Amino acid sequence: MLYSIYITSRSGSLLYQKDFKTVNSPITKQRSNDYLVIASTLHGVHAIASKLTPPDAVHNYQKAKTLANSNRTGLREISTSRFKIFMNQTVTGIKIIVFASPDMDEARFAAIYDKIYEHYCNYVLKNPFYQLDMPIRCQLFDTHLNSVVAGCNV
Amino acid sequence: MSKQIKQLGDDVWKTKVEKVNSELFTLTYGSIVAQLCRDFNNNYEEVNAQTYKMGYNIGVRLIDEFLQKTQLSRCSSFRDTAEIVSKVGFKMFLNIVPNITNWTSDMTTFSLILTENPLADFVELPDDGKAVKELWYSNILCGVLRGALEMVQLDCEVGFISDVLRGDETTELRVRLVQVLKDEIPAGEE
Repeated sequence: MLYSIYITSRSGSLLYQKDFKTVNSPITKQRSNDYLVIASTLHGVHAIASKLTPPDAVHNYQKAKTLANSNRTGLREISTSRFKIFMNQTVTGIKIIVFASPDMDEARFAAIYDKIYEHYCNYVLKNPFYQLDMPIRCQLFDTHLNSVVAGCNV
Repeated sequence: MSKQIKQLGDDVWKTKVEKVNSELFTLTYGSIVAQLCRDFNNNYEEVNAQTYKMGYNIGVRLIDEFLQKTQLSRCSSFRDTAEIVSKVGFKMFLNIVPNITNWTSDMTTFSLILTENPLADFVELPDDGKAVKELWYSNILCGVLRGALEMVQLDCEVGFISDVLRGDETTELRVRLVQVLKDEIPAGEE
């Protein structure tokens, strides 16, 4: 189950946020300002974590690295009893953050991340009227994201 | 390594990329350049600048498409970057593989020799005596490279130094790495 998707720019500002209606979702609606706070907190914690990662752990990640994800030494996953948070970062520094149910694992997330990234390239970046680093308001992107989510939440 | 890169370029080209009619592409670009020449009264310096700017705006967006489709991570050396640009980048978007030559000894500058150039298939430059000296017809490519490399924190200077359209022997594009923008590399990368 996917609960929410966040996309942040490389400087940590929130570009896109969406909660998805699912049965028993532990995610409650926040004030719009709080979404910004969540995104920039995750961005900051990720940066701090990247400095704290012990060299041995970096080595492990090297071996297990999932392609197209440049998040090698930063925060990758937060597990709680009710939901998980996954973070991937593109080489250009965009972060795609997914809130999902606890049964989600990294392999499945990697596939979802790839889909989201593809739609981001197609329907956000290729939209000539979208300005880089501005909040994403693209209908086509919404539609395609919804179909990705619907595929996971059946 | 070089073989793998070539294979990757071929695979991406074959399986992941949408193709369009090349004449539509060539004619579209041609009409843009011709219109710019009219708009700026054959001030070719300005036309170069405009196509470069258009390319830059394409490059900063296109790079994500490139990374998503190729699943590549950051290059470990500028030499790898050159290989990737030629064998994967140009292959994927233009179906050409320029030759990489003329490395400087400090490995910061290389040339791409475009043996074919789909942008210039039907083109003859105007014979006003000025165009062959001033206009870089395919300058948009420089802008695209510049923009795309900048987004992966490689600050580069890109420019043509010769073009068969001008009567030169080869079409040569020079890429110089000015600096790696270390401070801007996103946290979480090695």
